[in-house]
Amino acid sequence: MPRPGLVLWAAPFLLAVLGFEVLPVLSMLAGSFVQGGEWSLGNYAALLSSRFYRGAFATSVNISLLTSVIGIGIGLPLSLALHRRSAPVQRRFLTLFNVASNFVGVPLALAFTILAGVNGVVTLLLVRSGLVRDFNIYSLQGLMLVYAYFQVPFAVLVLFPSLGALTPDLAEQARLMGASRFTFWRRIGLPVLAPSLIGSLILLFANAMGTYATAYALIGGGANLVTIRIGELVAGDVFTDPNLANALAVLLVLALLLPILVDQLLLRRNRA
Amino acid sequence: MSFVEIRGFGKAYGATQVFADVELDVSEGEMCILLGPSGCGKTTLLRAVAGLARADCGRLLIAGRDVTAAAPEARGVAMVFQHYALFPNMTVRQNLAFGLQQKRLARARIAAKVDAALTLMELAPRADARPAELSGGQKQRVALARALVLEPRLLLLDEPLSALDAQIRKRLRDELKRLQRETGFTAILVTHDQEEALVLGDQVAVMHAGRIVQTGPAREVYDRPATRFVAGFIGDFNLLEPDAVLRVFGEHADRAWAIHPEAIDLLPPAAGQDGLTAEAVVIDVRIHGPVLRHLLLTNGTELKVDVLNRSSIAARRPGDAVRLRLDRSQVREVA
Repeated sequence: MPRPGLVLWAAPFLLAVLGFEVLPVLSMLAGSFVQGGEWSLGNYAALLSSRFYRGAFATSVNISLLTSVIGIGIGLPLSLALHRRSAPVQRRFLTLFNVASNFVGVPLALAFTILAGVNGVVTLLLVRSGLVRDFNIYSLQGLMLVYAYFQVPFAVLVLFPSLGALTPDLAEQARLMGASRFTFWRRIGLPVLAPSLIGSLILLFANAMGTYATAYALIGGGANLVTIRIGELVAGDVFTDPNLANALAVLLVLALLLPILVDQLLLRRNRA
Repeated sequence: MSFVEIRGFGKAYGATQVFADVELDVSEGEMCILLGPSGCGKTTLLRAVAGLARADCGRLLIAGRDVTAAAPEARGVAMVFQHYALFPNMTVRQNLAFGLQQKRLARARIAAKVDAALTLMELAPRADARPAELSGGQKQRVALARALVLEPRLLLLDEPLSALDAQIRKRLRDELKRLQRETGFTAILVTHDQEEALVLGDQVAVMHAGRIVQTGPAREVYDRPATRFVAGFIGDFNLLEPDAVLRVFGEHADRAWAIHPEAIDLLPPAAGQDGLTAEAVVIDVRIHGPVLRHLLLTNGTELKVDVLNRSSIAARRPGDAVRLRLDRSQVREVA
């Protein structure tokens, strides 16, 4: 039992956690079970039976999963390359990636509109040079391109610290023992990095699932993403239903919790 | 012709010479120690022998074969890294089997060899543990077993004991020596610890600033240092410049004198004056376990004198006057 004095010192922290972390979640959870002023499971029934909302989840999960895999796929080789450079070079690039991974929302959408929009500089260049017929950034493919812009640097940021586990002497030892590079990565490199790769994938997935402003600024309400549906239900022009939004948000949280729980279970089994 | 021959090895990073003009011969079944302070180029030299670093010039022969340009895996060497480089995702058994699997040996043969190595290193009870579950000493033994199971022509050890605490370090040091005597492997071991070098080495090569400054049997290197650097590094010698020799012993010397701390006798102040003697005052006495280290001041020069720590000898205290005596044959003149 901690001394009462210590609890008192922790009070501001506990209050902040309660007020800004716990209460909003509880209020969201409670609201999601209220329909027409009465306790009900109606919100969930409405969401799960609606093709529209199921579609929103499918699109969100698809785009998030794909851009996460792209993020790791490009981010891992990038991190490995960066890991071999000197500390100042690493610092410079990590700063750059930090900025890029946080460069989201309206500015990012605007930047991509100017560069790769219907009349964007790059689009026009590519079309005139005959390399592409046309490119519509206001589509899901376009959205994925924009997501990749922040997913790749984000992947580098979360993967980079874990590469310390892969010390150079491991590769040298394997080489001296006659293992090819491929064998090294298959038997040692990837297995050693696997836990952080899965963890990073989950972070990237959550990062993409939660993206709202970037998608909204680029495509507007036309993109059927969970976050955009929530935004519409809370502050839409036509009709609002905050409690339905609450239920959507609860489902979104569950979609993010599920992979985290699976990961934890896998990790625990691996350690045992 | 020696089993391992290094001829005119040199390497530079830009303008910095890492090592130069390295000549080294290691006989079969011999443990050769590369001894030197950190930054003297010994680890890079070892890596060049392994093929992990490229030497700019020179030749390397192992078992009569020129492997100067050979890939690391084609040299028949195994290496134990300073931090062991155990594969963290594999069990002890898998770590040991990995190299044999790369040689495409039959499964049954791999299992037999691994079991034999586990038994030899007394690791059988930990065969299914992962490196993270092992103590430092156990990791060390796994790293050694993993190298030996490959039956390399030459075993390279990069400061293999430096990451261990003193007790385990001494035990493993003796174990390593016993193992080398029993299995007769040929090895080059890098260390900065002179005691380790003397205990383990059949041959000791002392490195300084990228060059091997003296090579010889451990006893000889300890007894007859060729330079003042070796004297200072390996034996904790007293080094007296010619002017100090004149002041302390009244002798004219062309070169500096190196004198082992244990070569000097401490006598009562009134003792006879035959041989090289001088009057001195005790400044400090420290207990180094089996020996007592006396710091003496004599004619403005400080001297270290070691005396066996037996209960029968009279304790000397700071401020005591003593007479020190030295046999002429104990003096080593160094350049």
